[in-house]
Formats: sequence, C-alpha cells, structure tokens
Amino acid sequence: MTLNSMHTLPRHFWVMLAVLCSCDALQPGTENPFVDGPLIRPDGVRRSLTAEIVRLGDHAKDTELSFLIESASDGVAYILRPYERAEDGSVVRAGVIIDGGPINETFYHRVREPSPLFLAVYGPAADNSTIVVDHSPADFRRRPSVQSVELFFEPSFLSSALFREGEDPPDFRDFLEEIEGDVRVGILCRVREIFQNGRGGYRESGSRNGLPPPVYILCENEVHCCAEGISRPPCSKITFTPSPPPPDGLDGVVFEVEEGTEGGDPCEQKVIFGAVDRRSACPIDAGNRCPDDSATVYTRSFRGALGCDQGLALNSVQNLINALATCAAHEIGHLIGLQHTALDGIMVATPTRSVQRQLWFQPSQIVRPFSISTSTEIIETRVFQDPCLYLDHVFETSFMDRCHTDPMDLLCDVGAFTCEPDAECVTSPTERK
Amino acid sequence: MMFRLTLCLAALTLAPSCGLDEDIPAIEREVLYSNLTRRWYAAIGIRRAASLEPEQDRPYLFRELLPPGGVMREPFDERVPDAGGCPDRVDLHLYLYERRNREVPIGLDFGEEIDPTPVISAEMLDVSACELLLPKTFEVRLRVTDEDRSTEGAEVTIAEDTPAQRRQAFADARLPALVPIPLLARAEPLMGMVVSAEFPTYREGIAGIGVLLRTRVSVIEKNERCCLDGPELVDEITECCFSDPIDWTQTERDGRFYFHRPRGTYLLEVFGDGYRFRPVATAVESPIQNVLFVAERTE
Repeated sequence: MTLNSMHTLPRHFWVMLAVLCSCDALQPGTENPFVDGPLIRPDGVRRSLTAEIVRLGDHAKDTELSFLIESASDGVAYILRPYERAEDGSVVRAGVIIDGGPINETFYHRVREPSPLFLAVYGPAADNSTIVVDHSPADFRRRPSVQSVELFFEPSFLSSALFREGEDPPDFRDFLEEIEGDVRVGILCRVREIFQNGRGGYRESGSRNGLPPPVYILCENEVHCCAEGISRPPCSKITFTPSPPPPDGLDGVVFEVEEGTEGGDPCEQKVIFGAVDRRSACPIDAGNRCPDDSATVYTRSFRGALGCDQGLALNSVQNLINALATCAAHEIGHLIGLQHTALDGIMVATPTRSVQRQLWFQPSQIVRPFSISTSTEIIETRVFQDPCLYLDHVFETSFMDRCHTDPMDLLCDVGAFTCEPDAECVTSPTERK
Repeated sequence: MMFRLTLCLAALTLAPSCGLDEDIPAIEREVLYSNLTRRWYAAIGIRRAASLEPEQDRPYLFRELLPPGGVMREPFDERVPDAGGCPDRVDLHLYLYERRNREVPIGLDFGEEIDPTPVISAEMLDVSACELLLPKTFEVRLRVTDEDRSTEGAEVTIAEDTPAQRRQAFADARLPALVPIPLLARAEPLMGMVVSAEFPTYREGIAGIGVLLRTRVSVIEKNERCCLDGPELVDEITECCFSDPIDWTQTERDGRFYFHRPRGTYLLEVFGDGYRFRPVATAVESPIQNVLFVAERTE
C-alpha cells in the first residue's frame, strides 16, 4: 500500500485498525524498541530492514552519516533521539524526531550533540525494505538556513469559491469580493505570526534578536525578495484556489484535514481542505530537503464543511482567516517534514473548534505507533514530534533558547494587525471594483 | 439548593489503552474543561479513579478557577501526572462558587471575588476516560438545566450524540471545603479591530464602535436543545447560546478594541449608529488577537 493510498482511507478505518492492532499486538513485557531493537552500524553494508525502528548507536558530535533505505513503497524515514519526557536516566522509552529524509534516496544527518540515535521508517513495510548506513562522503550537503514559502492567491479565491448561485443573495458575492483583500492580508499576517512564534520574525527581515528565522512567509508580490537575498530561491508555494479539490483517489494528492466520515449523508462526507502536491519531489519533506515543494488550500471546501455548518467558517471574517491560515500553516508543516500529531495544534488533522481559535505548532506524539518485530511478537512504541527541536536540526541555525517559550510571552506586543504586511501585499483600493 | 449539571465527555481520537506496556508512553490526550454556566465559578479536581487502585488515596488535582465561559486545555500527563497518560477512568470533584458582587457585570467587577462557601460541591466517580475508544480530547463540559430554579440534585451526563459520547451526572456530595480555592484563571488577550469596507477609507479603523462581550452558555432543556436566545446568537458547533453582556468597550482611534479575560469561549458583538457590520457578532475561543469586523455606513 502506498503512502498516497493510505492517506485516502477513511479516518475510521485507521481508528479501527489502531484498536485492533493495539489490542492484539501489544504484549506487556520488558522489550523496548529503543533498547532491544536491531542495531545498525555505519558500515556501508546493505541489510534487510526488519523493524520500523532501529538503533543507530552513539555518535560523536559532528559525525556525518548517510542513509539509503530502498523499498517498493514510498515513504520517509526519521532520525530520532531519546525523548526527554520518557527518559529516566538509563532507559530510553520513546524517541523524538530531529531529522529525516526520503525513502529510495540517500540522505544525510550531521550529529549535533552526542546522543543515542534511532531511525524510524514511516510508510513502507519494513520487512520489504533494505537499509545502508554509512559515514557521509565528502560531499555532505550543508543545510539551508531559511525556507521561503510563497502564499499565492488565485483570482477570486473567495468569491468564486464560496458564493453559490441561487442559494445566496447577490450582495453576498459583492461582500466576498470586498473582503478578499482583507482576508488575504489577514492570512499573511496570521501565517507569519505562526512561524514567528518562537522561531524568529519576518518583520526584522532576517533576524529576531539576532536569530534568523527559518521560515519566511512571502506574498506573491514579494517573491522577488528571494532573488534579492532576503531569502534564498527557490520558494515553496502554497496556492489558495477556488477550484474544487480533486476527486477522492486521484493520484498525486495526499488528503489532509478531513472531517466526518464517508457515507451517504452529505454532512458526513470527507472534506479535503488542503493537500500536499505529490507531484513535487518531496510531498512530505522529511528533513526539509526540498526548498521548492508545493501544496494547495481548497477554499471551496470551507463552505459546507465541518458537519455542514456552512456558516462556521463564513460567519465572520476572522473565522475565515483562521481557517485558511491554519490550513496553510498545516501544509507548510508538511513541506518542512512534519507529520500529523495527536494533540491539538497546527499539525493535528482534526482540530476541535479550529476556526474559532488560534492554533500553534506544539510538541506532541505522532499518531501512528512504530514497531519492531521479534520472533514471537511485535513491540510497539510512540514517536514524538517537537517542531521547534526539529526545525533547529534541519536548519543550520540555533534556536534552542526559544524552543519552549510560552507563546503568549512572545506575542504580548503583537496586536491585531500589528503584523503589517509590506505594502506590495495589500490590494490597493483602486484595484478593487 | 439543588442543581442539575451535565458533563459531556466528548470522545474524538484514536485508540484504547488495552494491554499497553506500562513502559511505553500511551497515546497523548488532552483534557478540556468548558464552563458553560451563566454565572458559576467552577473549580474542578481530577484524579486517577480510586477504583483502579483501591489501596491508594490520591489527592484531587485542581488548577484554575474557571469563570463563566472559561476554557482550559491541558495534556493529560500534566493534569494527572501520576496517571501515566490518560487513565482508563477518573474521579472528578466539582465546586461551584458565586461572585460576591453579583449585581455588578463580570467585566466591571475587578478581581471577581467569590464567596468562599461553595454553592454546590459534587463528585463523579469512575468516569470512563481512556478505557473508551477515546479521541484526542476528554471534555468536561459544565452545563446547567436551570440556574435559577431548584431541581433534583446534581447530575452529570455523557453526551449521547455519538457512540463515543455519553452523558453522566454529578452527584451532590457535600464535599469538605476546598482549601485553598484555586486562583481565577489568568487573563489573556481578546483583541480585534473594526475596519471600514468603503472607499476611500478602506481598511481604516473606525473609532467609537461599541463592542459587547458575552460568554457561551449551554442550558439543557427537556428537548435537549439549549438555546434560549435568538437564533442569530446560536453557536453552530454546540448549539449553545450566549449570556447577557459581561463586559463592553469601544474601539480606539485606530479601530482596535481589547478585552482581557481568562481563556474561554465568547461572543463578540459590535454596535454603532450609522453603520452596518459584517458580521454583527462572532464566536471565538480566546486568546485570540485578530478578530475583524467590517463596517459600512448605512444610507
């Protein structure tokens, strides 16, 4: 089963699968994947990958490792280190993601600090895969210091998506056209605010208290910034389109942020709010190897979604801004390699009351359990994702002192629209009807 | 005085904890408290159910005092740190307090001092939490049937809307006094702006616009619909309605307005002579800093 087709299955399928797996496969015992899993040394030898989590041993600072996992299926692999909340000083019981890369392509990792390392595969069946771990060759590629993401708004991204002829009064279309500029600015501000949260800020044009921000959010009129050295070309791209989402199962799309279940009731149809473009080289860009990947936010989905509460996103401007900005930030999360998590935050697939509140990137578990097989049983464990820690490793900058700051402390001086966009981002009144 | 309260345990995530090796972290879940009463201040204590380990007498963990409309979200391992993640079952203690200055709107009652004698103390034991097919959120939703008339004692229900939701009653327990009473949840920003939608003042803030703040209220009626107010104020997620205004302010010269209230679910409503607003009111969960109202002059 490919990663793509896995994502198209109903959420409840995975719920039931999780129930069945967790009841039948988990055997209480002393085995621990982070202790008892297979150990693979960097010796350049090709081996069968017999577990979803393998141990890589301890490595000195600045050791450079290369990985090649080959499989018939797509997927990604993550480098883990012990998860601090699960450590008791001697036994590692869980891992946290610090880096990653694609399956079927060599990727590299430089050790930042001495620590036991682990590798977890996400996607392909481990027992059909092989792995080669080696010391990195001399052409080790330096990581980028920033990632630029362009937010591109197609014409009439609101009015032609959310207005329904015959159902809505004509002035509703006028209203949507009127607020399109405000919503666009609001989305830009909100997404910038999200990535400014503990990570540095856009407004300082490259630094916040001396720390360069790793993720720049640009509007279409600012893409020239890439060429002017504020950021590095090329940019990733998030497109807000009024076009309908592709039909379920269409090749090339990973479905995101679904709500409800598939069935006859139109209020319970799966809704596709956004999607990572699988036609790009890096659909879920573990380790953030691709600076020019792309994703789409389907604005049409925000009407009639969320259990048929069509007014939910539409009943206020900031609800609409929050909904679209959260979706965009979620897709950007995938473009830099983050996975879905269990607790509320930007990377959760089904956030509660998401349009009425402001979500942030938060540390949480990856929803899916990881396992090792022994001759008699399957042992499962959890993997955690801390966006701040992860970004600190996949960019060549250091943000550790900001990794666990209360978001509100950082936002105390950020009022509504104090995140002023550059003038070019704003549709001028004369451009409007 | 007797009350009927409801507690909705909303179940929205992934897997049960059956057979999980205690050495392996459980799936993370959060606990969400919503105080949907009109005027009670709620202290909610939680612990791993005593029935899971009868030999232990664990204390109840209380955090903040939740005002009307207040919301608190916490990962379970912070809320019940010795439970090893979300426990299969929990015990809950509930204390409801009333403000001393009941005649003063909440927003004008600095400090919101409460009478330290609880109006009601109740408990609910052995509430199914992660033994259910639990989603990511275990929700304790305080709702009332009638805050002004006496009924037959505290009750908790677990919502029946989905297989994962049930409704369960608090039992009036006359618990020992809670000492100390938790501090009121700290205030956080609830901010926004009223802007012009018209040329040539497009996107300019408008000063002097009134902004009302209401709290989300859920009142259980016999027909299980809870809204008592007009449909324009109905929250479409929970079918809850909203309280009378608890606070108000005016937009400043740049069109911005500010409230500082504990985290919660609120309705913001704008008014001003000579303007038409879109929307007139919007429901939010604070902290939130980008609430936006668009205004046009009426003919």
